[in-house]
Amino acid sequence: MDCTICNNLMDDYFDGHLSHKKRKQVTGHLTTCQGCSEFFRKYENMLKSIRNVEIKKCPDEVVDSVFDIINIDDKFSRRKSVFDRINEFLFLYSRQLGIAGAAVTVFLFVFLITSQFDKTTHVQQQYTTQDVEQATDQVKLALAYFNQVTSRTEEIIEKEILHQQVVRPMKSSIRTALKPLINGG
Amino acid sequence: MKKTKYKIYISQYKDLIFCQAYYFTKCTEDAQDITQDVLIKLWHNLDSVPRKSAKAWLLRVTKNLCIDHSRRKRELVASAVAVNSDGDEFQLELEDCGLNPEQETINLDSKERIMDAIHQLPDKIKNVVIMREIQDLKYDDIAAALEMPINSVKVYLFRGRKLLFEQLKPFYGTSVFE
Repeated sequence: MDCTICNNLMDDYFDGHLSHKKRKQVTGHLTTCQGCSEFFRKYENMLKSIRNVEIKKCPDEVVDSVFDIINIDDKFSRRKSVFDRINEFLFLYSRQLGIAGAAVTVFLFVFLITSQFDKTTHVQQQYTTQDVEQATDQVKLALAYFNQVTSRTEEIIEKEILHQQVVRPMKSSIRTALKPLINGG
Repeated sequence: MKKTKYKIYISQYKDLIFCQAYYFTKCTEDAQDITQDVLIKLWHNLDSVPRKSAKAWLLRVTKNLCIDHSRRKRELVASAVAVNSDGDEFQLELEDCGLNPEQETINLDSKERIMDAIHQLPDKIKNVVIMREIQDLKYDDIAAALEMPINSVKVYLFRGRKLLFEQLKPFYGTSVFE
C-alpha cells in the first residue's frame, strides 16, 4: 500500500468503516511509514479535540419565552414531576409497549390453548385395570405362541440335520456296498 | 394532549437544536433566537410532523434557519455602507457576537480555535461537521435531516475534516492537541 491510498482510507479508518483486511493493510503501512504515522496521529488528535468540544445546553428562558409567545401558561423546568416522566415514557415508548402487550397476549393465549390440549390428551390416555389385564393376557398369549413356533422350528432343523448328516450317507454307503451284488446277480 | 406532546419534543430536542445553532452561528444570542423560531415553528406544525421523523424535521428547520441567518448577516454586512454628511461612504459598525481581533489574539483556548475553524467552513459542510463530530449523530439521521444521500454526507464530512485539519495545522506542534 502506498501513502496516497493510505491517506484516502484515513477517514474510514478512524470511523471504523474499513474491512479487517484493509485495516490490517493500513496498520501495516503505518508501522513502516514514519510520515503517514505522524500524519495519522495528528489527524486523530484533531478529531479527538473536536469531539471533546462541549455540548451546549439550551437555557430554560428560551423555552419560557416560546411558551409566552404561543400562550402556554406553564413554565418550562428542567426538573420534571413524576407525572411528567410517566407521560413522557408513555409517549416515547407507546409503540414498544403496544408490541410487548401484544406479545404477552399471544403468549398467554398459546399457553392456555396448549395446557387445555394437554389435559384432553391426558384424559384420553388413561386406561382401566381391566384394559391392562386384557393387554397382559394378550402379551402372554403371544409369547406362548412364539415359544411354540420356536420349538417346532428347532425340531425341524434337528431332523433336517440328522437326515443330511446321518441318513443320507448311510443310504449311499449301503447302495455302494450292494451295487456289485445287484450287478452280478 | 398537544401541549404534552410539545413539551416532550422540547425536552428531547431543545439542546440538540440549540447546540446546532450555537456552533453554526458562534453566538449565544443568535442561537437562542434560532432555537426560539424553531420551537415556534414546531408548535404550528406539530400535527403534521410524524413522530418518527421529528428529530430530522427539527434539524432540517434548524439548518434552514441557520443558513437564512448567515445569509442575512452577510447581506447586512454588504449593505452596511452609509454616507456621511460630507458625502463620503463609510462602513457601519455592526453588532457582532464574535470576538474582536484583540480578544482573538489573547484567547489561546483550543476550543475557541476549533469553534473558529468550524465557523469558517462553508455552510453545508459546517452543518454536517457539527452534526457528526459535535452532536455525534448517526449518518442516517444526518442524511434524513439534510435530505441528502449518506454518501454525500460522508463526502461533506471528510472534506470538512480536511479543511479543519488545514486550518488547525499550525497548532499541532503545541500541547493543545497532544
